[in-house]
Amino acid sequence: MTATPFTGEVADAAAAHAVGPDYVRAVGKVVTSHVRNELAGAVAFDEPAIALAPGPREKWLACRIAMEEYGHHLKFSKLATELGLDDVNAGRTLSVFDYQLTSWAEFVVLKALVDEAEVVLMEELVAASYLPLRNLVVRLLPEEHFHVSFGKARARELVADPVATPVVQQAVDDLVAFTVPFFGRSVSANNEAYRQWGIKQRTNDESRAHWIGRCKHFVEGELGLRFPHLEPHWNG
Amino acid sequence: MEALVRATPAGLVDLPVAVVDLREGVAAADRVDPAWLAAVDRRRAECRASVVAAGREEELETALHAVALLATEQLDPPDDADVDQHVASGARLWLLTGAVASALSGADPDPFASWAALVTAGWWPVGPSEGRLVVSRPT
Repeated sequence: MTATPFTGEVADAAAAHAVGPDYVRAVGKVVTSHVRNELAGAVAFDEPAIALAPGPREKWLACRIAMEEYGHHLKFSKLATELGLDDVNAGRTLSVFDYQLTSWAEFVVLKALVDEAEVVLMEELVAASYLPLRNLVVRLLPEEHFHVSFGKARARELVADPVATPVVQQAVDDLVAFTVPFFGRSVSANNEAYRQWGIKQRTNDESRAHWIGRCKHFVEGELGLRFPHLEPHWNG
Repeated sequence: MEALVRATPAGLVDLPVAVVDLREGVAAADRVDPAWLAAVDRRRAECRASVVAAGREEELETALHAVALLATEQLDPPDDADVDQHVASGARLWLLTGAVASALSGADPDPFASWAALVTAGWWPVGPSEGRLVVSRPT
């Protein structure tokens, strides 16, 4: 790792290798986590949601979203291949993908809150030193924004029904707890390397705080529900 | 074209065919006959189960991967914020993925063949809705 933060821009995979193996390793970890998690998201959440959808409009929106998540997986896979990374599908997905989706309300809340976490992480990569990664997230962010806006719109509709409100509150409580680790531990050698190499700018806690702020505003301000008390600091 | 529209994945539907634009198609989709939709869902699931039971799940996943790769881009909503365009795109992707499983299952006649042909030609066959068999024209 260099002594001072890297401030250059890296045009392509060949240039990344010219910077050095530590740089490729750091970019590679970010890319492979997206490869795994976009696929896990499509399989674990979005695909079952097609069957859980209460009507045709919701079913087909869920289908489009599932295919987009799978498309994101393929696009991150292409980046990984260009970088020459091996076995990008190996390794654990993030803890939030251990969640078992059982209802449409959970899917809706998941899109509103968990995809917001994905948006927070992607927004940061818009300034990443590795230009192919930067360019990719610029292309994907509008789709991720749509997923969040879909989740928020449907969640607003659900809480208009007093019968559904407790179900939405439960989904908020459960999914928020599952999403906290999504940003990584407060003390993280990986995150230090990402910031050293100009791939990310925020600490994991800063990203988590950003996400908490957005979600708290939505859940309390727009849904009128309770947002669980959270500290940005998290070490497992 | 009408003959293809009438040959729905849930069987022949003898209703007047209405060719509409995308917005009207989405409005019709909201009121599509739930029994018909459930029948399509059932056929879709049966085709998939039949391929998996034949030990061809890997083949199915590969074919679905190819469809996802091509069709998700091909049917990309021009406006990332337009919900109606996403509904229309998702519906066609849902039909295409059903058609893949149906084709691999060897079902004869293939219940999805006619509608898959319409989708690949740019049409969106929506289904029976309020006494009409609705199809949205290519945009």
